Order: sequence, then structure tokens, then C-alpha cells
Amino acid sequence: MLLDDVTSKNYSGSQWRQRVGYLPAISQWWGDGVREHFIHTIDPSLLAAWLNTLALDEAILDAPISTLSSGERQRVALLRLLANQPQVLLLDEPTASLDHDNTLRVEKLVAAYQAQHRCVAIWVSHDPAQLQRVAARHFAIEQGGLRPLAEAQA
Amino acid sequence: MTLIPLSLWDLSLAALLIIALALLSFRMQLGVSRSIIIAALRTVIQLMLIGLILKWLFGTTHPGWVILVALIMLLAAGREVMVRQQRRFAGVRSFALGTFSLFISTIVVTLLVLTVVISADPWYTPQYAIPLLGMMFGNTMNGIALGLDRLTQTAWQQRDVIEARLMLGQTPLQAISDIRRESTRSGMIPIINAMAVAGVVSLPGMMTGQILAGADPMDAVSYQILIMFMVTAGTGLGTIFAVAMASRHLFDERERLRLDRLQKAVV
Repeated sequence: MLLDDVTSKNYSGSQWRQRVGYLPAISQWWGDGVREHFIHTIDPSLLAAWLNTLALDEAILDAPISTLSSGERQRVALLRLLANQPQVLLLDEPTASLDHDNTLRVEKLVAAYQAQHRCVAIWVSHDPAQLQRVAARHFAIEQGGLRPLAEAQA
Repeated sequence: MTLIPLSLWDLSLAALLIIALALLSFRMQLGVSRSIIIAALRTVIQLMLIGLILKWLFGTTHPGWVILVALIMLLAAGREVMVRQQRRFAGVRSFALGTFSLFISTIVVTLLVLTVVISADPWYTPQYAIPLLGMMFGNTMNGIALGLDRLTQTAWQQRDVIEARLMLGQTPLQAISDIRRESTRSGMIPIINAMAVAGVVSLPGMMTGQILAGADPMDAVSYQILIMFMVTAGTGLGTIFAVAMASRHLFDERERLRLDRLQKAVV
């Protein structure tokens, strides 16, 4: 597998995972507060802008994880992933526990990030309408294989 | 001051205490009478045997015999570390890991003490080497076993968290750092506690034995302090080393968590 013409064998596991960011459907938290789950320091103004896009208050960064709702956790999990500045995004139902408004906010943030970083994303969803909004090429997983669906309307 | 030797008759009287306890347990249907008798017999036989061996060993001056006895103690302690793991590495690795950690920590500290602190002549004088090694192995074994057991158990329980940290691009060392620190700590805590209460809550067995045997209490105390320091240093080193090696082996060269390398102990 190649990333920017470099084979994956030339990256250590951790280097590869920072470049190819995977967002699992269920997020795991090990520290007390949100902030300590960011493994790189990130430009505070950029982070503030992201929080704003997702309609989250900046105070959430210092809140104990246990006080966050599942929707808040899902959104903050996306932020800690984007903070690694990945070149590829693998998103596994990233809006599963979000209401419609927040779903649109996440889609907007991912689109902005992709445009800015020229980043590829693979987005898994059960919502055909969402896939029409976020993805250019569509596939269905059937019997262990990929079946191409009709291209999205440009 | 000299030691009052105990005769066979004296020990038989003491054995009556055990028999009385076994009878009482039997009447109360505690189900431990058999275990009491068997354990008491094992104590007598094992200690008599080791007494004979030591008596013979102290008469010889050949280092080969001392090394052989030390080796047998090492292997026995290594096996004990292994069987105390709820989840242990598959194959010989589990045994090798514990035994190697025991070896490194115990041998380094004991050699240092024999040559520099006690300055026994020759350094392998069995009267010093064997009891010191025994104390070292016995305690270091506990620390290593506790630390490793905690590490593998916690890694198993928190595998989702470890995986999530790897997923975010942390190295294995970072992903397991908290668990590793906790496990190392839990291996060292008992011996630190023992140092803290020595002489206040508990009179250490070795010191008690020396005093009973007629040694000057201050001499006995000096040796006890030496032993405490040795044992703590050895336990700490051994636990740090064993937990570090085991942490590393929980991951492979592609930095993936490899809990499949562990197997559950068959109870």
C-alpha cells in the first residue's frame, strides 16, 4: 500500500496511523479530561474554529469525560483525530449518535478539512441521503464484496 | 549467650499443638484437617532435607556446589512466577521472562552485597551466599509475579482503550504507559510497606531467628537492615525489568497489540 508514493512498510505502525486516521463507531477515553486525549499540540485558534463549526463550547476541553453525552463524545473524538492532521480519513458511521443539525455540522467540518488538506476520506454510512451529500463515489458492501453504485449527481 | 538446642522431644511437644488444631478443625468440620497435617509434614521433611543439604554445603568450599544450589533455587522461583499468572505468555516465554528478570536483579544485588558489603572470603562462602539468595529469590519472586499478573490482566481488560490509543497514532510505549506504571507500582508496594512497618508491627523472621540463636540484637538488626535494602532493591529492579520486557512483548514489530500471545491459565 502506498501513501504519497511511500510504501506502508516504511512507516512504523504509529506513524502510519497518524497519517491514515481511523474514527471507530465507538470512541474510547482513558484520561480524566478531553484535552489530554489530543496527542499532538494543536493551534488553539484552529481548534477553536473547529469547536465553533461543531457548535461545541470551548469549555468542553476541560470537562470530565464522564459528563459528556454520547453525541458530544462522538464530535470530540473527530476533533482529536483531525488534530493529528491525517492525510486519509476512515470514518465508520461518524454521525451515528448525532441529530440532524449536528450531522450536517460534522459533514461541513470534514468537507472543510478535506478541502484544506487535500485529504481522501472513506465514509461508512447507513444513510443514502448522507452519502449523496458527502461522497463522490458510492459502493455497497454485498456478500463480502464491493459493488459500485451510480455516481453522485454533480 | 548460646543457643539452647531443641531435642526431638521438644519438637514433638510443639507438634501436639498442630495435632490439637487439626482435631479442633475436624470437630468443626472446617475441611482443613488433612491440609494441616500434610502441610506440617511437608514443613518437617522439606526443612530437614534443606538442613542436611546446607550442613553438607557449608562443609564444602567448592563454588560449583553453591552455584548448583543457586540455580535450582532460581528455576524453582521462576516456575513459581509463571504459575501465579492468570494470563501468561504462551510457550516457554512466560517461564523465561520471569526467570531472566529474577536472575538479573537477584544476581546483581547479591553479588554486590557479598563482595562489597559483607566482603565474605571467599565471596561464595555458602553460609552467607545461600541464605541471602534465598531471601532475595523469595521476595523478588513475589514482586515480579504481582507486577506481571497485574500487567497482563489490566491489558486484557483495557484492550479497547489500548487499541484506541494505538489507533490515534500513539506508540506502544505511550499506549500502555499508564498500565505499565500501575503494574510496576503494585509489584513494589508490598516490600515498601514491609520496610515501613519493620520493627513496629512485625519483627522480621530472620532477625527473630538470629536473636533466638543468641546473636547480639544490634548485630541481628544490622543484618536485617541489609537484607531489607537488598530485597527492596532486588524486587524493584526485577519488577521494573520484568514489566518492561512483558509490556514490549504485548506488541509486535508493526506496533499492534498482540493479546493472542497470552493464554489463560488452566486452573
